[in-house]
Amino acid sequence: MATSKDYQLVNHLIQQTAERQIKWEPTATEMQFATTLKGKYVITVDKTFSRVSQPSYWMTMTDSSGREMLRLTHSDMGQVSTLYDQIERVALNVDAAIDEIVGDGGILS
Amino acid sequence: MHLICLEKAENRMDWWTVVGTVASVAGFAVSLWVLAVARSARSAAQAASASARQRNLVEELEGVSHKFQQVGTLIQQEQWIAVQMWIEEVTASCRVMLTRWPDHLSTERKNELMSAATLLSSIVTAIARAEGEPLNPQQKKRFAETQIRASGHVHSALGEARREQERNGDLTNGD
Repeated sequence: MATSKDYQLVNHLIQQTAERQIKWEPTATEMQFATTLKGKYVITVDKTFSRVSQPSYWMTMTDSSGREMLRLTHSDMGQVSTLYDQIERVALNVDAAIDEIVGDGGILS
Repeated sequence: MHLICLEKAENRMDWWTVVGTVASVAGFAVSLWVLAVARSARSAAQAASASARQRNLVEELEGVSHKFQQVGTLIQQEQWIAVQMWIEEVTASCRVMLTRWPDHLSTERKNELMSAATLLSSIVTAIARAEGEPLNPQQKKRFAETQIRASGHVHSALGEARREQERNGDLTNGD
């Protein structure tokens, strides 16, 4: 059960990611991104596909000693999937690609 | 006669008062000088101590940086058990450094050091997820890329620590 503080954190991360204030990095684990905040909190966001092909999303926050402090899934909070999509969009530079296509005046040019 | 003696005694007292006043002022000046010297010595000792701690951090970071390179070599050689063992050691070293030297790196560099440990740990997680199955070339490529990025973060922290060490060294030398 997500608390109002959890919502505050995830919404903050979504906003900061959209504004490119947080530097997310893809890890060696497939479909996982990580960042460190305040020099001590590591946040990882994951996506996996279950056997029924429905994607699952979750986010974890660990402290500097590697202890898990918080774990949220998209079933706890829908914004977790929004966060993952936002991170992926920024990491893949989707907006820049769209600007490049649209900004040239014609899709075929 | 009695009046002359009294006047002489008063003059002598005035003279001693002057001498006493001068001596007190001189004593006060000497005390101030001693205080200033003691403060300066304490500042120098503190600067030397900070410099020694910074030097230790630099040495520790150099050691960790070397271990990161070793992990890279082991990934290329596909020595997965050794990779896991080295990564566990390296990530522990990163965490110890952040605990031992919490004020010697900027928040940005601490973020990088933590990120480096997280990135390497993700290699261990990925190896464990493979459950002994042979890793495909795409996975190996991802491991190598992750290790290179993690190594870059450690180099950034090392660069900052060296800069800080040089600055502290300059201050200790009074430059």
